Amino acid sequence: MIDAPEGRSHPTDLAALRTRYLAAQLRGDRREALRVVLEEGLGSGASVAQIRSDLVRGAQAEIGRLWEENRISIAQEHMASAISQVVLAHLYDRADRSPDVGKRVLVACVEGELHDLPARIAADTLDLAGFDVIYLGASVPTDSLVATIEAERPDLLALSCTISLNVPALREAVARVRTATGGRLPIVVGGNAVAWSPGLPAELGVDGVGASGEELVDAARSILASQPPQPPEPR
Amino acid sequence: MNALIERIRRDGARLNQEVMAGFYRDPFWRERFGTRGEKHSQEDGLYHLSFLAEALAAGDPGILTRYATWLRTVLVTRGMCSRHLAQNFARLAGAIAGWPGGENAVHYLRLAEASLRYGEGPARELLGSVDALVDATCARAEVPPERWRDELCTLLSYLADALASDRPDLLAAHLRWYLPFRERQGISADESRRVLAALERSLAGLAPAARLLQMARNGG
Repeated sequence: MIDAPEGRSHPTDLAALRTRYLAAQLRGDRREALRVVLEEGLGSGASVAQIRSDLVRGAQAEIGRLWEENRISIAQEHMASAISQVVLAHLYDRADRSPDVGKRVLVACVEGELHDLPARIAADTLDLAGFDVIYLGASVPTDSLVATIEAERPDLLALSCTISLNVPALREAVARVRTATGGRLPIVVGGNAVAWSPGLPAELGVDGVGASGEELVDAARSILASQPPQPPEPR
Repeated sequence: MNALIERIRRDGARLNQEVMAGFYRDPFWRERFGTRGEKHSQEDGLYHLSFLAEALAAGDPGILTRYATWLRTVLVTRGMCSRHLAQNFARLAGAIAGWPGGENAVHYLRLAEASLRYGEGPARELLGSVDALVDATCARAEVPPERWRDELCTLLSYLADALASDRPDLLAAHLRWYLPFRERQGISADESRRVLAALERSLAGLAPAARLLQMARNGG
């Protein structure tokens, strides 16, 4: 177990908040985790983006390290990640949303990819930046991905791949989507598997990489800048 | 290259079973890790081949070496040592060497093995002296080298891992299990303790390693 220091944080002391947040996660204390984020984090002036990045993502990286070193079990890792999902929902609810940019982005984890927290963060970040986001979540079968793209006609596809073992599924998804759309749909990729394989984006010939939600927003804006804005089609 | 990658993906399961069968001829594996461990070993072997195929497809051995060093942390904190993983890569390389185009895969697997050697610090110093330490220890303990050479190489790998991660508890946990296991193999506890004591004395010139071994022998 990790002991949490007592006391409230300096407004910018996100590292201390992250320690307390992580301790709450590993105790399975959902309410305390939310309190740290909402009262101490947002309440002391940290932005939603900072909390998402420095607290939630930072704690998730630490959770991964603790599991690797056999200091926490896989059940604890899942419990902690489930708490982060709840926290992200609350952060989304409290964030200010930028005006619509008239572009639709479809975000999905490739088939077999169960680590959906990074994709969830990406989807939320894009949504709050004004994009119309369709978020499909974890392990989307490639057939279903293609069918959804054909039905929803997004302006951009963002594919998430965390585990390198799922890179073949990423390759398959990119190839099938290109075939289905005649290569007209821009594609960006992200996730640890992409970071582990620096040559992969160029090999896949994708249009961009998003290592974080903010990077993905920048990539989306850049790629779609040349396209005329359209009102999102009703769903 | 594509044909090699295809063959790794197509024949990998059979190849992995053969390699794992070789490992499991040593009773250490089943006794140490049980049936659950055997299941994980089979899965890990398939992961090695998947990462190998992915590295070859991308032309980037770093995909495999990064996987190797990441996996080492996972495995050494769960009762294995770097040498076990290196041996797995070596056996896969041996099995693939005869395949058409297999030399590429062998090259990547050798790089993965090499990535597991510590590049600095007391762990590197220790592993640079393995042969001399084994000879000195066997002489001091008056035990036949053929009975202890492989065991000592593995013990030194456990020691190096514990040094590199500053985790004497990992070596302590292994020794607590190891001594009774050796007894079941017909090596008396007295002989095993004599060898460990001789190893500690042989490490006199490598103080961090000697200290860590002493801590581990005293319970970590």
